[in-house]
Amino acid sequence: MHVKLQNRRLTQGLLISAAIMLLAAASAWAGGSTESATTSGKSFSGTIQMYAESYSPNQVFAPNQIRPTELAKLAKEYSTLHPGVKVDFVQNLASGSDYMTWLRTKSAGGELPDIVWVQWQKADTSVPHGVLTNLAPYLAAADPYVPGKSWGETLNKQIVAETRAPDGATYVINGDYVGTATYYNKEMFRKAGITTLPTTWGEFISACQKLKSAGFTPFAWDLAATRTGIDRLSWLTRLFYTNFFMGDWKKLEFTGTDNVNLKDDAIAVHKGMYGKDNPRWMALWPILKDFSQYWQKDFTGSDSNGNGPKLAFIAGKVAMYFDGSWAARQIQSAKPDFQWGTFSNPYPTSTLTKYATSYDSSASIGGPSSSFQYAIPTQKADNSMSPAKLTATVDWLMYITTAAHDEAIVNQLGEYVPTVDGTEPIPSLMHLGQLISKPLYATFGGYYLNESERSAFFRTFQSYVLGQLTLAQFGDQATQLMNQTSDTLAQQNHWDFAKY
Amino acid sequence: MWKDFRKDLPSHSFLIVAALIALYPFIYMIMTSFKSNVEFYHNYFGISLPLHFDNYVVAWQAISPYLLNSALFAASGVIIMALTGSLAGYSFARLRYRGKPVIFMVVISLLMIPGLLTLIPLFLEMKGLRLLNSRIGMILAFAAGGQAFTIFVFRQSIASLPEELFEAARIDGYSEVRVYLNIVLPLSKPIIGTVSIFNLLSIWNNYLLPLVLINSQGKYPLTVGLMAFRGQFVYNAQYGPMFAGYTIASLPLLLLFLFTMRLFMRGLTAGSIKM
Amino acid sequence: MSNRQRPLTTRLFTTSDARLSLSRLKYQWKSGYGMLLPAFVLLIMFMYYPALSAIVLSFSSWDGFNSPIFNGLRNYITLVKDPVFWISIRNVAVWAAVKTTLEIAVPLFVAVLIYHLRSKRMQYIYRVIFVVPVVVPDIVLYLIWSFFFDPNIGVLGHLFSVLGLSGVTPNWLGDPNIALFALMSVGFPFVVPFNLLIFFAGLQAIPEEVMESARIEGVGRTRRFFQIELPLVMGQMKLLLILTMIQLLQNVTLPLVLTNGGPGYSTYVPGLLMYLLAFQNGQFGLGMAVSMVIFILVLSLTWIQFRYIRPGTEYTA
Repeated sequence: MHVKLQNRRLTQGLLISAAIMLLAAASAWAGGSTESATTSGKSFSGTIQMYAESYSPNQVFAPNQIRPTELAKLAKEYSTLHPGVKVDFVQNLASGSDYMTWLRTKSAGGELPDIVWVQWQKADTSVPHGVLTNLAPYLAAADPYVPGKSWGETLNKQIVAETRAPDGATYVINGDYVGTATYYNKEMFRKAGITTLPTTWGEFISACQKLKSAGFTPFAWDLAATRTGIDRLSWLTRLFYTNFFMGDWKKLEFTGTDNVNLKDDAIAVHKGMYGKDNPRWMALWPILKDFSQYWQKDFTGSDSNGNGPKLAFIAGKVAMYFDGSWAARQIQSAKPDFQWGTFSNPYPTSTLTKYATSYDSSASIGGPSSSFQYAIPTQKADNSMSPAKLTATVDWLMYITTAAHDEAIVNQLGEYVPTVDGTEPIPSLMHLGQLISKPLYATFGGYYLNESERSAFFRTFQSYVLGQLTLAQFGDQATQLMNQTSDTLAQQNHWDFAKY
Repeated sequence: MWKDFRKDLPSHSFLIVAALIALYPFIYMIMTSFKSNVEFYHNYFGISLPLHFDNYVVAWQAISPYLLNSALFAASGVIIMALTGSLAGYSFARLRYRGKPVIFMVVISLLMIPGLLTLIPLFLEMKGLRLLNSRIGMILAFAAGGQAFTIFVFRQSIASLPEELFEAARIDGYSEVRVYLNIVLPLSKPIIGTVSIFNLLSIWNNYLLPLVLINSQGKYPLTVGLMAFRGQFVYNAQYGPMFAGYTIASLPLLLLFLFTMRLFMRGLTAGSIKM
Repeated sequence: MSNRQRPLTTRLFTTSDARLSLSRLKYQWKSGYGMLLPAFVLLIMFMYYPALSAIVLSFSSWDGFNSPIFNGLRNYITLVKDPVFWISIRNVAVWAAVKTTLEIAVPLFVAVLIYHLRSKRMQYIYRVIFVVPVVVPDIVLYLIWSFFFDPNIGVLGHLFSVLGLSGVTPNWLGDPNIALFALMSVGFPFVVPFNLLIFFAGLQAIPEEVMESARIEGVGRTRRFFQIELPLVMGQMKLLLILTMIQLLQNVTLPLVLTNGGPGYSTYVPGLLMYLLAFQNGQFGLGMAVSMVIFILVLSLTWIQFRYIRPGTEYTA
């Protein structure tokens, strides 16, 4: 009798456990699956999920932050035009979150929204192959909202050409342009006796010296090994290397596209144009080390979640710092108790070093890589994507990239400049607007071949600035790093360097 | 009592100083949570009056969903672990069957597997099981992670219960399940309390596992959510609300400890937690 | 055969098993295994299986999205040749050695102090006070400490200026020579609540007669500690040593949140290396190889401690 009783208990227990597991699996399946598109014939009916970054109506807003509502309005209009199609906005990650990690993990789970934000360089360096859809075929298609033109023709042709991936694909559709500037504290400048704003790097360093003598900390730079710090070094490499290599510019465009893309950089590394054996390339680093003496102390320590320099500037602890055009509004709303202004980034000239050219590279930090950078994931990265949904999503993108709509969206926020043909920026950003149709000359100088290399390069640079490495050692390590990465990239992408 | 105090004065002086230092971050957090920015910039060390309770309103709005998620994960995980762990612990402690020592060693060796090793494969597996970014997946992952220690503790504790009780029960013809329900569970209340609190703490504090397995902000537990929260508030230099958020995050555990302190300590006595 | 000579497994199981009567034996395996089942389903699904796939993945190259590609020992060779890997091992060795010592010694010392207080009430009060810090989630503690270290608004910096030492304020997280030690000091004064309570419980378990006879014989405090108390809490110490060390060797969150491994690689630890390799660089296979190395490290150190540290009860004849 005991045996039977125990058997029954055991079986009961097993059945219950099995039931629980089944229940868990069932609810997980129910919870984990995303909404699937109903494809009735050829047309799509359902919801398009969009991660709209700064333009998203669905984010946690800081006080005094302008609420972008334009996209929500356009979504409503679109639904009336196309009944059955709804556009939903995924909530933005909190500021300071690691967007790329989110992208990576979501794509691995097949859970990306139908439109994601990706900066065009990152599409090459940081996103695994096969995550994003090549939109080039759609660029050639007729734009239903601009009769007589293909989609590619309504967008800014130059930017489309410049943002192509090395393999010729277009992964990112661009709609805005960002610039950077040097923000400065007017009162500190006055007290230090600086009467004219610096334009060249040499003048800029003299200004720093004057500020230092007057007892101020001239500049705040983020050299912490955080994501922001690692990213910011590319601002300096772009500012200087675009100027240094301007004489040879056509030579850098190895692959024949209208820009210097990742593959071009890799080839330049392979050829030694970027590396310790090229004195032109090496000339930058002592200049930067010299610059570091004017930075706030503890520039390699914590950076307050990437906002250290800005916070230090607002608190009146430093006289200047570099930031993007987006910061103007933010500083305004922080209401600092001093007068402040901006001036164009100072660029190197031949008085600084013989390797400088006279090119004004202040605009090279910036370009078509801010918030209106949208890409569409493949079905593997977004399980809810289907051919019909893809068509509908592309159509929505075409809708929001008409001149009128792009202008409305971008100008409502007022932090960037719209780039679609025929748009106008807000008055205060007019000078930035003049740049968008100029060729974007910008090269990273080998600094950002992929995430792994960038992080290692940055840390080596830190050691150099902190005096732990000599210039020669730094040059050796950086060059070795770049070459290793360039070879790895060639292998992964089946590039043949011998052709160039 | 004061005579005792005076005799132990050296010990007391050391202990009081150590306690103050140990509590300082906690005190600092609470003090700063009531400050406005102006007050903060003027007074780093001490209390500033008036107290700004509105900081808490702002913080609460931001982090209450995270609190709920953490509570859900912790409660569910702890219950599952107590059930499965005590069952297994009893089995190892009192029942005899083939291969028991070996199986027990296999479980104990799990203690050696660093959580780091299974972090990414767990991500892969959850993706395959379509449990990625799901609360149930998170709870199961937590429950599995704490099993080894839980089983170990239960096993030690149940093994130390008097043998006579079990003999009596067996003579009376109780099935093992009944022994478990009617004898083991009631007698193990203190240890269930202690190990559950320990597990709860460990789930509550876990940052990496939810960071990897969950990617919707609405499902973040406190640990991950606080990082996002901090990003927002540091950016605006809103230190008061930021620390108010941290304090709110500490309140549930504080309440828990106030109510369960004695239970927790009782389970730790008898010195049965050791190797 | 004395206890010391028998293998561990039988030592753990002899006493209670011997008393079980034979007639019950044949009925127990069903409930025995049955009761293990729920725990094992969880363990196999979410612990063993991932651990096995970790091993397999460490021999492949995987970008997190496309299919893994088998590449044999290449990951391990890359690691061995990478100076960053060795820096991280050195860092974590220093970290684990220093912090384990601190996190074991300080709570033990405090536990002994509390144990010898005459007032039981004060004993309880102190235990509660020292446990309160545990309500602050680890991550909040790290964020508060990152605040302490902030060069502009941090308490530590201000402490130094108040003491007139503002010229010598260290760059806590920015100086590569001290960043690691700055990270290690998070948690000062290292009175880990859990450790404290476990040690205290162990001290309480010391039989009253032992303490009485020590007092009668006039054993001094130091001798009493080293010859009676310490040996008798060896069981607790062994457990805590192993648990603390396992946790410290894996630490990722602290360096990730405070310094991201910088400046340079001065605060890189293998756990952080694994995380960044996988989630920053998209090199998951390489990351798994790192975690395998950590695993083997943990396993060996644990085994060593298991074998060579004997609980105090075995000393008494």
